[in-house]
Amino acid sequence: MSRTHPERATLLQLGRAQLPRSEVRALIRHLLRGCSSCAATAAAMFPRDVVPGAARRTREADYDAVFARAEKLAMDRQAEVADEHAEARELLATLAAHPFARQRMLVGQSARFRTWAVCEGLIDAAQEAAFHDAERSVELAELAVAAAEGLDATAYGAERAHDLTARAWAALGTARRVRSHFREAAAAFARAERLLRLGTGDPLEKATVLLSKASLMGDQRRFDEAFRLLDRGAALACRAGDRHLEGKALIGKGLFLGHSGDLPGAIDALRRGLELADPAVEYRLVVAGHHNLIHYLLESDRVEEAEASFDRARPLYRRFEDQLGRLRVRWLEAKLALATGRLAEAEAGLLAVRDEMLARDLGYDVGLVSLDLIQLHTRQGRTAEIRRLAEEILPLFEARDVHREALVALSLLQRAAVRERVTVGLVREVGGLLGRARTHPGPRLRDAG
Amino acid sequence: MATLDQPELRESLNKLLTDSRPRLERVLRHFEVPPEDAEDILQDAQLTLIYKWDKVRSPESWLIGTVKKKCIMYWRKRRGSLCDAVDTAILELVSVPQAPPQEKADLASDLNRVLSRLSSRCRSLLRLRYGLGYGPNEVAEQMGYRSSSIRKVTNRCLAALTRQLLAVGFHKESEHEPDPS
Repeated sequence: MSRTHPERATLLQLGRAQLPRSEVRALIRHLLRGCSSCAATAAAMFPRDVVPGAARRTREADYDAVFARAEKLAMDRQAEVADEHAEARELLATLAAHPFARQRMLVGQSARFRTWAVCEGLIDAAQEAAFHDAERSVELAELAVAAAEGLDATAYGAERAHDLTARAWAALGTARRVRSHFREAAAAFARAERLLRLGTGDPLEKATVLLSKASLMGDQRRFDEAFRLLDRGAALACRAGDRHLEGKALIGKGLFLGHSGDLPGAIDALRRGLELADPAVEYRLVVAGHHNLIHYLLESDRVEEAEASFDRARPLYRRFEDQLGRLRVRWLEAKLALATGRLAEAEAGLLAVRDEMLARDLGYDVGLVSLDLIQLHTRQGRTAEIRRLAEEILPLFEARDVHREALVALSLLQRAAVRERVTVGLVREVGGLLGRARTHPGPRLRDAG
Repeated sequence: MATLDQPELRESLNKLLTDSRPRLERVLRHFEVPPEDAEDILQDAQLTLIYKWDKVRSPESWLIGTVKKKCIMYWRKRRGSLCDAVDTAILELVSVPQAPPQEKADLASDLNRVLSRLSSRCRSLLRLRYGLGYGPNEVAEQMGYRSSSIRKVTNRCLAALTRQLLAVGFHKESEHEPDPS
């Protein structure tokens, strides 16, 4: 083994793990003898925690050329990405003109469709479809997964490609969740998490997947797990400086706190979330946040705060384009009128909303509006109307696979109506229970009165 | 659908890269990343930002945070590969079967000198590894560690050994490595 000093270039290569094994062996043997000059040269290539006190070359390093080259490459690549996005618009329009089977074949067989921009477009479309067409959302997310898994890792970078593939799987998990296919949704999220571990480590990607998975946990009433995921997601978003995503996590937490019966906690989380979330980014999320906040405030008898929140949300509500959304706002206005004692206004509003819901065959909502009317009649002592409505609503919920416990509560209400012993508290309790039972099976009756 | 094909975004990107440069340079200096490697880190972070432009709502914070993280990962990787190289080299050196006795004795003496500056736990662990040729599970059993944690303890001892090898000239002779566990 050589006792001469290794070349400086050899020491540099040791730092980069670029030396052949025989040379590493010779070099380590040399260092084991205690050569201080070689150790000092090698040490300068490692951070302070490897060798405290070692002199660095970076103090006087000139990064100008580094930045110039990196920025030129970034601008060149931006032009390529812009072209890809322009082409993706046409490709997505082409895809949309075909039935799903043909779409799947095109994405599977043609590399033109397996680009970053097409995949992102499909993910966005799947997320949008989840609000109005869950089945189509699943199809679009499946296409996104196929496009992502066919990405050219050399062109995009393997870690970046893993990030996008994880996002596509998370979109599929969400679409499956919306269809109530919970087991398949969980499998998709597990796949997304595995892919993230191979990705760039981008905290925003991770936070996004965690938030989507939290929604699955919440829908399954696994609230503790949902809260843990939402807290982690919020912390990641906060560290990455993404206020909107942090707000989204808080709004999600508020919703599930409400579902779990913690109304003060729900109100607090929703308020904090709404301060951060940006309606320009996710309009529906912010409207839903306001809507739930107002409902929870009403349920908590914090009527003035509910009214103030409604006033703040009014500009957002005005932007509702769909009639069903507008109908729900009218319902909320009638509930506020009821809570503030404007009973005539409340009755007119509730009856109008109820008629329109009947016309749209929204049986479950008709039942909930009827409960609001029962509450109104209870305040007015109109026992005959209470009895009639209580008889009408039981079949509406029975026909819709409502959880047994909610039906028991309804029967209690019906019996109380017959005995003319209905109270506002009982009606509100049953209403809250059925409102939560719509999306979550197995609610717990806090007080059946 | 993403909006990356809009011309004004090119200007936004250009401005972001210019504006963020002083902070990015401070990060690179803080982490003491050599310029030749800083270029890879910067390019990778900037390319990722371009692809995710529509999803990143605070691009400058995201870029700074990503470059910081990449600097940490850069040194973690460098540190890991150096420790691996030291470990592999020593294992190969001590297992050369036909080495002359004097050479073997010199190696043992040099190795003992370096090990003597480590904590007693690391000294014992690495003597079992290099001196007696024990595998990780045997070391764990001998020293009373769980086999699930022996890898972590071994890595810490290898890091301490590597520090000692490179620290000649920076440390006082009397300085000893702290116990890793």
